[in-house]
Amino acid sequence: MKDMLKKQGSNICFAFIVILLALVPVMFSAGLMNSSTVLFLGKCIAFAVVAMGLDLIWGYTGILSLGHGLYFALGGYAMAMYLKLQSTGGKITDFMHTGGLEELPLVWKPFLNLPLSIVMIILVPAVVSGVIGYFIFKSRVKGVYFSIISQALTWAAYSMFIALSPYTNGNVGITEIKSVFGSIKGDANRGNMFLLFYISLGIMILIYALCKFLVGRKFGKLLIAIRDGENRTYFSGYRVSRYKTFVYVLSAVIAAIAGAVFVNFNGSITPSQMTIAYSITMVIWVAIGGRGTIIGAVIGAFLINLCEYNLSSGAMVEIWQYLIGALFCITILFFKGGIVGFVKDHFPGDKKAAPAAQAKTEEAKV
Amino acid sequence: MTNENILEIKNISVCFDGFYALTDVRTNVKRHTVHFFIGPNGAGKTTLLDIICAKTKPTSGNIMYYPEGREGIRLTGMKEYKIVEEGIGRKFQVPSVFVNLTVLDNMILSLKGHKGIFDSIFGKPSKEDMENIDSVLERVGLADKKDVRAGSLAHGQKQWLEIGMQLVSKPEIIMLDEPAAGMGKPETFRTGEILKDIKKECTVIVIEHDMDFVKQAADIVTVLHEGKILMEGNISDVLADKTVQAVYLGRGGE
Repeated sequence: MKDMLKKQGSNICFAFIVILLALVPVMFSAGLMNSSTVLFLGKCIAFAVVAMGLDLIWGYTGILSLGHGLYFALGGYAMAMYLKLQSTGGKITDFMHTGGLEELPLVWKPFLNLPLSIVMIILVPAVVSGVIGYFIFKSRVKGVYFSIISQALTWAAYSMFIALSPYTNGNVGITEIKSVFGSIKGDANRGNMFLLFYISLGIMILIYALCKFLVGRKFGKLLIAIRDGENRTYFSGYRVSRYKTFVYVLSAVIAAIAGAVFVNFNGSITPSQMTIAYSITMVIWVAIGGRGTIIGAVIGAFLINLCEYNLSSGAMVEIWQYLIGALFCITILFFKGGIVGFVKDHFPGDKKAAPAAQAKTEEAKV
Repeated sequence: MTNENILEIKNISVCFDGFYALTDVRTNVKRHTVHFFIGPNGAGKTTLLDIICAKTKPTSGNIMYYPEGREGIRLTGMKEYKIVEEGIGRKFQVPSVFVNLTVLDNMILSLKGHKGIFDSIFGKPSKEDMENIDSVLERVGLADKKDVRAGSLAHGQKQWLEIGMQLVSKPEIIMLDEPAAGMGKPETFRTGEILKDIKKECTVIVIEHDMDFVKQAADIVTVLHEGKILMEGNISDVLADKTVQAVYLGRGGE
């Protein structure tokens, strides 16, 4: 029994989170929760997904990307473009009119139907990250230099999205959209909202299973090997740059899927999801939850966002950013393993994942 | 008749910003020997290994490699992972095992072949591979440490693990940069015995300072000094040589 807890700790913890989330619509129906909380938890699911992708590349492979907001936003925009065209009935949008366009631009055409849009959600970030990753990792750029480049690229993309306002609606972003399953606002559309919520939860489970599968194989050990001794891995005969590019693309695609889920709950996407600050926030989730554990990323994403949701109103709004920054510094300096690492160290073997899950439960109930 | 040399180092020179780390180095390494490179600090020993495994590019000269029963291969200009695939393994000066993985995982990552992404996601080490790992761990004396995190091994054990990682990839040449550094007398002796044991299967190139260790394990010794070869021969000739004594041994073995 103890042995099982030790081995399956993170899976048990994840199952616990999933069960809690699965109860959310039930609690909402029972009147224990308001609809904005449900939508917020939906967004948290998206955040947990992107955090897992980041954990693969940072926690396991040791590549600190400060630009995953870019891929999150690319997925988000792709989804939003489809949803926008759904609401205009395939016609050209207001902001295109204002920008002087007469007909639907070519880049918007694939988003007229859903299957093609889904392909684009995955393909666009895969190609972008593939090209970037190929050149960066082939020339063996690493460490802080990679982080700086990833920031710069994100900034460039952000500026581009603002500049191309006839196509992207600039600063305002794509707004006034419904979810894939139709409107999720109001009592009449409760069914749509639940469907969306459970589908998103399903996506989170799939991504978790995928990540867990990958890190459990030799592939996962190799990522750790690259993190701990990149040169050594080269001299063991592995083409490290290929592995790095592969993980980079994988985490970018996961981020894009998360972005697509996010848009459904948020009802809009703006370039602010593409900013460096936003990208760094994602890194903070992973750091605080615990790097290199997958489950840590999920816990971190939920915990930080739930704190922010509950604390960043009223008097706390001013100091919240400072608080989260301080928390990040403390984690990096004193608790390198984040929450999960802390729990592992203090409850070796026995009941290791339980306390973290407990803490989460309290939060979720607020 | 195959070439009795497995490695031919031909007129290698390396120049770092005008400073010649190696000048016109020319030597051969024979199959199934333990070949030592010794010399004072800065003599260019590590640079020579760097060149063999393509970590450093030579300014001039080239290196030919004759694998058993195959055509000769020109190593100069090849990528490092290709050289590993061809059967040349290298152990660095600092023990560099993957500290966060278990001894067994370290060995699995070092197995020959299956280095692709697809293989590492879906592949599993075969039964022969696992048996091979077990027998190598037995030889380097780590059979009971399989599930121990490599980072928590003692210094000497890390060095042996790294030798084991080289062995399990079935190389034709193993290059070891100061394998006995930081080891006590009994551990050093043990390492020497391991080297003598593994030369049956492959050729061993070693850089070392510890003269007792050299005496114990060496078949051939090449003495480097200021980037040039001072002399080459068996250990007793080298020890008896006056010049070698003057530049190297005279300084108390350092």
